Amino acid sequence: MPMNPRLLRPKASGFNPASISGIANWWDGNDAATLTLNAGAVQTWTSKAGLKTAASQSTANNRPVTITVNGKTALSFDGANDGLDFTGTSRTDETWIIAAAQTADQSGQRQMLSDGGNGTGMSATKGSVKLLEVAFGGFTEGTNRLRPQYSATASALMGPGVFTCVRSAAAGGFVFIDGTQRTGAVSPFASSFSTSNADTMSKIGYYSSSLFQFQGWIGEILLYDRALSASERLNVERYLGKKWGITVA
Amino acid sequence: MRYYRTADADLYESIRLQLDAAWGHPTPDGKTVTCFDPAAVAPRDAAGRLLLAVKDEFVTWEPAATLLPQLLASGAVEEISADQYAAVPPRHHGQ
Repeated sequence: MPMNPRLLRPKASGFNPASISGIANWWDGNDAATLTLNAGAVQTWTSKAGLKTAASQSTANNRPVTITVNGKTALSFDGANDGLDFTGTSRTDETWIIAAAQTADQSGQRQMLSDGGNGTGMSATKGSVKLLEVAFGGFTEGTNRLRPQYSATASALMGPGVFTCVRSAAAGGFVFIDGTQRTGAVSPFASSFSTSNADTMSKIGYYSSSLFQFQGWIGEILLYDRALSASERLNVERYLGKKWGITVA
Repeated sequence: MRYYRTADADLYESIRLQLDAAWGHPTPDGKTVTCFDPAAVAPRDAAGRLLLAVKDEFVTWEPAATLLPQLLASGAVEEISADQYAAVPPRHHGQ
């Protein structure tokens, strides 16, 4: 007896990140249609919403590969030279939300997201403690950068986690880890950064193939061209948390 | 991952171009330009030697599998450890 076609339909997830206005890009590692593989490595990761920007790598050896995380497909960056490049857009107001995990104890600053020029973006940074470093438009703590502590143990691996930056010229920038707002762990211990500088992100997984390379997996990146409200942000973070097996507030 | 280093930038470039020719890089569609980073942008250690990290599969693919033993035997290219590759920690912006 054939299966009722209704039973074969995908179950509705109940939430679609693209339903929130202002979606600018949505890179989803678990959407096979968005990945172009070449010799088993990811040549292109194409956003499935908004601008549908393609992030790509033209050097064969520098391409990330795919791995399985929580039953889903994520991109694995080797920490040596892997990364993807894309044409970004200069903004002062935006929201970046990333589901990712660092998988090795790496020294210094390791960029999940980078401008590829000044070194701004979102990074796992090992200092005297492990920090989530978020910088847009500069590196003055509390002005255009905020570095919350991820762990008191410097060698702790960052993640798996949902890492968020919400920023606007009018209201400033805020950092969230797994749905909870975090304040800076570095003087002046600010709760926000008063960003008004435009910045253009253009790299995933590194600053360049020889600098600030992130070793770990990135499952999904969502970008909105405005500062999301708290409820909007939490909806996206919870969606990512459920999908990638991360506990979100 | 496998890690290599050489002090000879000309050799590094000749290897890269030889492998590019063998693999047909750059591809006609322009999506693959080269097999690994050119010497001009490749990382270097404190002594100025070029460093290369490649995935395990890379060295099993022809013609790299044929070329590599010759290069190692010549002494011009050395295989190094991950720790040696990462011996120069990245600096930090803004500090």
